[in-house]
Amino acid sequence: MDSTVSHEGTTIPIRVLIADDNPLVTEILAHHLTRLGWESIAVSDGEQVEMLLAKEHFDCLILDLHIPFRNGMEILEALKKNGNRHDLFIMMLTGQCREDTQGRAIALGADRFFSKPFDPYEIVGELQRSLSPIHQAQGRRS
Amino acid sequence: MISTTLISFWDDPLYRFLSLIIALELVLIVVQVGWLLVQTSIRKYRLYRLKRFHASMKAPFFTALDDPLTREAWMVKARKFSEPVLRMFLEPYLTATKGEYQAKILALYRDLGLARQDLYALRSSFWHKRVLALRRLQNVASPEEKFVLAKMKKDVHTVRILTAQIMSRIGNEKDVFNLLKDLHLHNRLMEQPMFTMLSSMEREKFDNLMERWDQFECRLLKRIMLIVAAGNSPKTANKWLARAAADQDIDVRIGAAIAAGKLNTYESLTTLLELLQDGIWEVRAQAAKALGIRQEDSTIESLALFLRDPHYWVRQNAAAALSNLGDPGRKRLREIADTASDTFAVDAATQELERYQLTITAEGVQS
Repeated sequence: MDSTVSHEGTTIPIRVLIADDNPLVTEILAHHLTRLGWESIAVSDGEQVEMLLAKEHFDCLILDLHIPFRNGMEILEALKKNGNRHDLFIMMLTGQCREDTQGRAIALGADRFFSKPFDPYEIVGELQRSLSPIHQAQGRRS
Repeated sequence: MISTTLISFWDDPLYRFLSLIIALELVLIVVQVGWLLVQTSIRKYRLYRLKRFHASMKAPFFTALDDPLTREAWMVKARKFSEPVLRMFLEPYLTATKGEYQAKILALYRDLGLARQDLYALRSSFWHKRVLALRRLQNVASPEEKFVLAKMKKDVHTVRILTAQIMSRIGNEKDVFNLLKDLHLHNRLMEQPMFTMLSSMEREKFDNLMERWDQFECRLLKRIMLIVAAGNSPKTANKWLARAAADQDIDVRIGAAIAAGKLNTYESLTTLLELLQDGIWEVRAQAAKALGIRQEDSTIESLALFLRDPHYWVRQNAAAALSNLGDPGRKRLREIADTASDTFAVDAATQELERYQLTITAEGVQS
């Protein structure tokens, strides 16, 4: 499967952190990512996002703009300020799809921007296209 | 002793009447409480069934969307649950998704017979049931159903507006026109749904609908159409602008002023300057406001003239419009404040300059 990479006999799955306070969104995405053999963790607020990003390695962050405690923009700002997460692929998934919001998110380091309502196939397809090659390369390097 | 007193009360016609009223009220309260208890129980039971549904059917649901065999098995099991439970489960997924994924959920919704029930509910004699069915059909209805929906054109306002919203997605501009041509919006609260519907219409459909602008009967609807057109379809807005500005109805003329404020054509500027001379102060005030939005230096003297208008809001809007024009506008305001003989003009100019100064100070404090 192209979603995982073998390195010295071990298989490393792509790890995705989904941050959305709507369980329906996280359930759908988690189901599709699991089917690909990827590992996903769902959280519902900004503090959990920051805590998990500080503690664990993730290849991708799917981030809603409006989540409790620390919103999506604040998380992006913090990540940019720290400057040590260049390998993290960030996908914004939000109901607020104004051009200025999109522009600001991209400027703060978001890689893709998707609006709600969303098509899970479209999102998972984009993740596969963008993440699998990166992950393969990282696996070869490690 | 007590029974004697009660009998003496009962003999009095007034007390007898009051006792009957109290007894009737008690019965009504008992019935209401009973009805509430029944409704609560039904709701609790549905939630319990939904919980059961989630527990046993949610995991295979995701697989069922992509695998025909699992789908068949899932549907057989799902049919054992009641219609409200199925709806409560599927509707959030329908609202949250779009594209191919939503199409698969829609197919499931249809195959479970829920869309057919929605269409059947449109025949209900209770309007709230028809409204509920139309709300469900917003995402569900397909072009094949437009003939059923077209029959709602003689229905009450809310039903017609909801139907028009669906029709703007599944039908053509003629279908939308047939539903709305003789619809009359009674109050401002009904405007927002129309505005949203027209704004989200496909450009080509909206352009074609605008071709029939003069055939719509409702003045408020015509006003909304013009404003939407100024943003989404400037060419069609420009086409009707002169006619709207000369319309007998105040609302249509106000719509023309708002639309002209958004259009950057010479004709629209001329229209605005004409509307600034309107006999109705609301139209003049809107025209002055629109000129402020356009920010054209050539309108300074026209606006300055309306600082002497007999109506307060026309003077205020003209002053604000001059201030919006930047330094040249504010320079003219200063001249009027310092030298004009008209007290109205001096007051309007002075107030606007003071307001501007306050804004500058506030911004300075914030930064």
